[in-house]
Amino acid sequence: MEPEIVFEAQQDPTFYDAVAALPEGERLRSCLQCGSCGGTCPVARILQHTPRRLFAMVRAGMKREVLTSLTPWVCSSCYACTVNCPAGIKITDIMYALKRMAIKEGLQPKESDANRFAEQFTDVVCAHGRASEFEAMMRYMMFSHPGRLLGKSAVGLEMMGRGRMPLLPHRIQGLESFRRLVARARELDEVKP
Amino acid sequence: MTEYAYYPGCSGRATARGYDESLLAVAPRLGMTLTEIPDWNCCGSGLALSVNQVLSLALSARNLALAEKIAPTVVTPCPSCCLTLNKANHVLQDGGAAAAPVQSCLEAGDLKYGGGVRVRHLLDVIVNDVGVERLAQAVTAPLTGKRVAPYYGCQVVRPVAEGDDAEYPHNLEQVIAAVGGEVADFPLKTSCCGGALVATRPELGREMCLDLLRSIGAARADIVVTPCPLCQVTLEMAQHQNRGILQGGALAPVLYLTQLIGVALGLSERELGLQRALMPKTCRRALARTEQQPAL
Repeated sequence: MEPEIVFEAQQDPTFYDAVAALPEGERLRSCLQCGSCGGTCPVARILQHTPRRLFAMVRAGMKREVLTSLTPWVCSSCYACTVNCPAGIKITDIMYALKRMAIKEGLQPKESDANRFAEQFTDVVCAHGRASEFEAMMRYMMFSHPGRLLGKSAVGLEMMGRGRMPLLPHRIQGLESFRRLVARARELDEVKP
Repeated sequence: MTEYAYYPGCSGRATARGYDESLLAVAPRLGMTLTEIPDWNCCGSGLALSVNQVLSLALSARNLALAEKIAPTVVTPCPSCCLTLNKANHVLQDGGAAAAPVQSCLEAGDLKYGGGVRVRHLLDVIVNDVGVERLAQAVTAPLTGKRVAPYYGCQVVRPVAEGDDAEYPHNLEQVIAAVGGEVADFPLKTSCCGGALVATRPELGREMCLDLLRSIGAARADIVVTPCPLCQVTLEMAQHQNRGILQGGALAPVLYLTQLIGVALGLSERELGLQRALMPKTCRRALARTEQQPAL
């Protein structure tokens, strides 16, 4: 790991408070830097920044580095860190909050476009009222990851043949009122797309 | 008969149709009446929560409002749906500052939620409402001699293990014993399968699956059982795609909780959606009741 030197001029002194103000963020102030989170994390094997390190970076005001870190976007939401944190920090929920903050700031994670998948999946849900794995996967992979799509095509066809991958999305009946609910949520949220 | 509002989750009508089908086949035999929440919508899972928190809460709130009209308890077979619905339920029941924007969304959708619903996962309901004694009594075709690996996955035990012990979960083991099987214990039973990474980090997801499957193989499992539809499809697809390098118990068919129970209740392959398995021959072979293999 290459040493990073961050000069005061590059730090954002308001960032720590901004993260602490996120849902479940306040407890971050009691992080002991013990590393239990990274120790239990199943994806730590590929992380440049374990949660412990990421939180140290939050404290250091390294806004850009934190919000472009791969860590929140590769989090598999297994909640192992959350249940093992001796300071009671809801780490998984903070990862979600950091993802939303990154989207709001228009920052792209390093070596990943998982943000795009989350947004496209959400758009599919908002359009039909139900998720469509087929549509979400196609939207995400068609142009940016054709290799992955190809790699999945054999098993995808098998799934279709067994009635487990419907091509057309299910649509709910009350779409009109559903869309009003969605529109209100888009208006009110901390994050505006 | 106990009445529940049933939330199948989107996977129940797609990749996990066998879970939905087997649950609906098994439920009446266990004294459960399931009424599907009319016109339910996707909860958005962790993906909508990664984009917009109010939206995530509002998507779940709509389901809670619709469920409140039919029954006080929602049961869902999907741990991720269960967690997502519960997050919204806690926010709305607390009624704090975070609840106001969600209530406003409900109003925009002509709905009202009074906070009168409890959301539970199917495994909790089967073990703690139906009870393993009743389950054992309903068994007509016990899985004698079959080694069944209990794979919990993540969200049924974390962050909250409702109706089980978070440190030492044993609900699945109780079900396996009740249906007459033998528990094939393995150390990774609550480790993550990487299902959430299938689209965005496939190579990492594959590694996580292979670790798990090899651990299951080392436990000499004949069958794997899971209460999670995402874990099931992730493991099954990994088996299918890596069948050349896996062997023995690592290729044991991965059944949904209610498929395992259904087999022991003597239900047919079609009633349980078992023909939808990606490797149906392996599945049939594992479930066949032949002469006992000599113990190793």
